[in-house]
Amino acid sequence: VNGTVERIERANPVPRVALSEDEFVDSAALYSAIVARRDSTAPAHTEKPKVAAAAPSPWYRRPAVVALSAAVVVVIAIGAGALLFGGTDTPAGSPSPPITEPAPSTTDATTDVGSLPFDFATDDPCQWFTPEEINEIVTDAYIAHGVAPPDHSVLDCEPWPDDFDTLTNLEVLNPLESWMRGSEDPEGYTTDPLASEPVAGLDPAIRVRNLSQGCVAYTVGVNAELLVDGHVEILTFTHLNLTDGDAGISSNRCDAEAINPIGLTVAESMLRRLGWIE
Amino acid sequence: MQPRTESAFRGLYDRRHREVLAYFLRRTDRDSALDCTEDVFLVAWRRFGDVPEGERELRWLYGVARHVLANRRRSMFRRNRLTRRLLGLGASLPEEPETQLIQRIEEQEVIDALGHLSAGDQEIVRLAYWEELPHAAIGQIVGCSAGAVDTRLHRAVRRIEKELAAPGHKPHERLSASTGDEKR
Repeated sequence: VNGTVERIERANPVPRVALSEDEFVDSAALYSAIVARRDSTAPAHTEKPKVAAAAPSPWYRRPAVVALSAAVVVVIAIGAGALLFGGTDTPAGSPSPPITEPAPSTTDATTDVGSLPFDFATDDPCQWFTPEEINEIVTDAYIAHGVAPPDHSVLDCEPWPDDFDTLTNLEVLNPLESWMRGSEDPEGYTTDPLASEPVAGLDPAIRVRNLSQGCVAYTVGVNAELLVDGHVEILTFTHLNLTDGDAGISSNRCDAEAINPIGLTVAESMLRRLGWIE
Repeated sequence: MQPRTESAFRGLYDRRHREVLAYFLRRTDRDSALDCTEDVFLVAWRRFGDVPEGERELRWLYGVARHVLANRRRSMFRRNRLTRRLLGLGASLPEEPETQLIQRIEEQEVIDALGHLSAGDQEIVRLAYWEELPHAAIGQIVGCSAGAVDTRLHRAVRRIEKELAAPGHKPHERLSASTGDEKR
């Protein structure tokens, strides 16, 4: 092992000694470039705005299928209302019909899953599970929610970038919005982890900690950590979300629209398999 | 917390820009490294109040750098994949710039073996042996405990060692393999 470590150290493309060489970098030119970029965007970034929570994306920023679905629901609701209240002779002043909360729909989540862009990296779950295990966990989660499971998506955990092509159904592993501390310019990357919190829908022993979140250039990076009382190890879900492409540079806006209850089931199932919860 | 002033920002830059640039040069080509270094210091300017003082400032910058690079690679990969799809080809990664930088076969083999690890393990190995960070600092950057870094680092080195020891991965074997056709 020592020999291997030495070889790794020798393979360093930029050994520490090179940093002190004059030709390593034109420091003044680099600084000028940074200042030029900084000053060109200074008005938008001089102060960090404080926003309590990320607002959900407006309907017009959502995929067309979602907007269309919403429109259909509204039309149906209006039609149903007309039938119920317009078609019956309800005397004025009579008590209103009881209001019942609609049951949560599991298929809505699936719709959202299918419409979300691919934003998930498996490098963290792949530290703990084989691709087959991840596929099995995800499949079971879909079935538990009464939704047809996707084709097996994780074919190979390594090298990780190759997974991009095969992971289109694994957006369920995106951190939930409730795990994020969203804002226009969020708390940002920090090495001081935020206090861990329990999450509704997960085993009470599980805590979620948002280690890092920040608009970096035009993307949002989130590490949502799942911790279990009494366990040192942490299961981390990494989420990187391209916001508005290059246009996002100017707005620096962070969107947190990855919401998927199936992901809760996946997370809990992973922790159960790891033996961290019973 | 440091007050954000031009002189304080310049001081941070003067202290750390070489290390930040080196971080990127170890992972990408020079043009990208310079761009990414700019990105890191732009983030540092915006979030100057969050930049810790002392030794921790470098860890903070490395943490930002890691995100910057990950974002850039994802963006590059998406573009590359789209282009290849349009051309009717399969997706593949853009060529890793390290391959352009490392000429010596033995070092290249280490780089290759390193590239076969998961992205997370690669980063831990680089932070440990190229950036020479202590395990606790690595844990803060990649988001796991120092104990987990120990375990993952040990496992990663063993995997590199195993790969380097495999037939066909020794420099002289590769050389003879590459010249074998000419001898016949």
